[in-house]
Order: sequence, then structure tokens, then C-alpha cells
Amino acid sequence: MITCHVESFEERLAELQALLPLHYRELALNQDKVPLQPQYHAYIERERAGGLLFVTLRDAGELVGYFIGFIAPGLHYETCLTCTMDIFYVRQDKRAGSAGVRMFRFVETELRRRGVQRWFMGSKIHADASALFKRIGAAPVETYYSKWLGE
Amino acid sequence: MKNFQHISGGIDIMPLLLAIKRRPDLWKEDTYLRDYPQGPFAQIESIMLRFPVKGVYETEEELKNHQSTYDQHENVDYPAYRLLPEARPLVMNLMAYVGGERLGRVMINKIAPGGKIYPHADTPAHAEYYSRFHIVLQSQPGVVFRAGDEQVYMATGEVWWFDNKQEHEVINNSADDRIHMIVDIRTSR
Repeated sequence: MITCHVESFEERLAELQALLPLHYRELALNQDKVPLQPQYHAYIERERAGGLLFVTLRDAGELVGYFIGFIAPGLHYETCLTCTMDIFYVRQDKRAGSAGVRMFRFVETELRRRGVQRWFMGSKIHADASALFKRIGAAPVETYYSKWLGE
Repeated sequence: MKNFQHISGGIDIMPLLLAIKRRPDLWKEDTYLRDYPQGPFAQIESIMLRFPVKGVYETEEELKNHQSTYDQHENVDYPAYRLLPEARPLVMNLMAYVGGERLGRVMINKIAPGGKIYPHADTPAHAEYYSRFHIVLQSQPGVVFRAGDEQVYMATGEVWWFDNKQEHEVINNSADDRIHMIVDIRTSR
């Protein structure tokens, strides 16, 4: 059974840290130059300030996926409470079925409950999640580019 | 949150939890909730500490007489309350903390991994009269507790109020039993 939960990032950090390397290896860019080194303290500060949403996906208690989003009024649009997705992940062996869709629908319910008006979510070109986002009624609005400038 | 209120954490529940684990027979003493026809509690086990007196009335006259004098909010101590004295200080400390005027039902409910309490709202007259509190004796991440459009995780040793007038449900998708002590308290209003 897969269930979705709003949980505390700070309290569940140890569990999250077990999944992050899987996520990194599968999806991160420039892995030969950019190690996985999250600024956990910054996430915790945002959560304590009420600006972070951490949704978990569990199977018999085990953490098998997550969504992290930042919630704040838009910098250009102070009247528009906005959720900007940071990351999401569903463990590979749990992707059969509709676990991802369920998690995003659960996130939407929670965002609506919190009064969020606009939700941004991003999809990697090399791991396209567009079908998932379109299935929950989101529309593409921007293409994001990256160029490596370091050594 | 409008349907849930975290009251306290770090409560020492271990003496009661240990006493319960040493008396597994108590889960089998009273199956009233589990066996209630088409009720939402078919997958739970309970230890009744305080509950209304349950009776069977042979004739219409007996039933009518009972209903004319019956106070539906009256609860009495059940034998398990004496067998688990570790429960009393938790209950009475909560009574004192919330300024309780009358103590209602007290029961310990266990939901095994994979078990559910199906969506339901408690009887309006009961939910209106008593406030419902949960003292968490054992829980692990993966338990869903929803009331209305809100959902929380209640950790072991925490005390919560929740609005049981709202439709609510519990799904234990954790790896261990979820054990809560439910305490109904009439508070000033």
C-alpha cells in the first residue's frame, strides 16, 4: 500500500538522506564536477519559517518517494502565494502504477488547503516528467537552460 | 490547522505501553467496537477503560424505561481501568491540563500494519458534548490520520485534540501497530 503524508523535513532528514543518493545518481547534472551536498540547514530554516512543504510517499512505513516545495509570495507578485517545486522522486521499483500521480494530487490538495494560488514544477529534459504534470492539469510555460561555466 | 491541535509532546507513555504489552489478553476482553454491525472499526482491537454501561433489554417496556432515564454521556470505569493503573495519571493529568469538567470514554485502540478505521464522523450529540483527545502510545511514520481536509502524523508521546465531528479515517501504512489512548473530556465552553 502506498500512502502520502505531510511530514517534517527536519524530523525525517535521516530517512531522506538514504534516498537522496539514488535520486542524485539518476537525475543530477554534471555529477563529475558537482557532488551531492545539500544545505540541510537552509531547508530546516525554511521549514521553521513555514515556507517548506515536505510530502512523503510511504510503503509499509518505508520512505519510497518525496516532494519538496518552497511556498512564499512571489517576489514579483506579492499577492500571489506560490509554490516552487524544489525536487521530487519516486524510487524506481515503486513507479509502476500511479504513485507519482497520487503524490502530486496529494500535494495539490495540500497546496489548495494552504491557500497557494500558483504552483511551478520543473521537468528534466533527460528524465521527462511532462506526462505526469500534464496529467494533473499543469501546462508548460517556460524552458530552462543550463551551461557549465566552471573548470 | 482547524481540525487538529497538537497539545504536548514528550509524555512518558512507556509504563502504560509496557503494561499493555504484558497483558495481551486485554485486547480480547471487549470486542464491542470491532463487532459493531457495519461499523468503521472492524479492523481494530480495543481495551475499554471507561465506556457507557452496555445493556440488553428483553421487552419494549424495559427499553423504554431505560431510555427515559438514560444519560448517554455517562461513562463508568471498566475492569481494565483497574488492571492498567498506569493509564490513570495520563488521563487525570490531561483532565487537569485542559480544565476538564467530566470524564467520558477512555479506550485504547490498536490498528495493525495495513489496518484501517474507515471514514466516518462520530455521533453528533456525543462529539458536541465531549472533546476528543489522543495520547499516542506507539506510532511510526506511515500512519495517515485525516479529519476533513487535513492530515497529521501524531508521534509517540504526543497529545492531540481533534474535531471528531468531521469525517475522519486512519490508515496504518507503517511497519508496526499504531496504539492510541482516546480520552473524551467535557471541557468548559
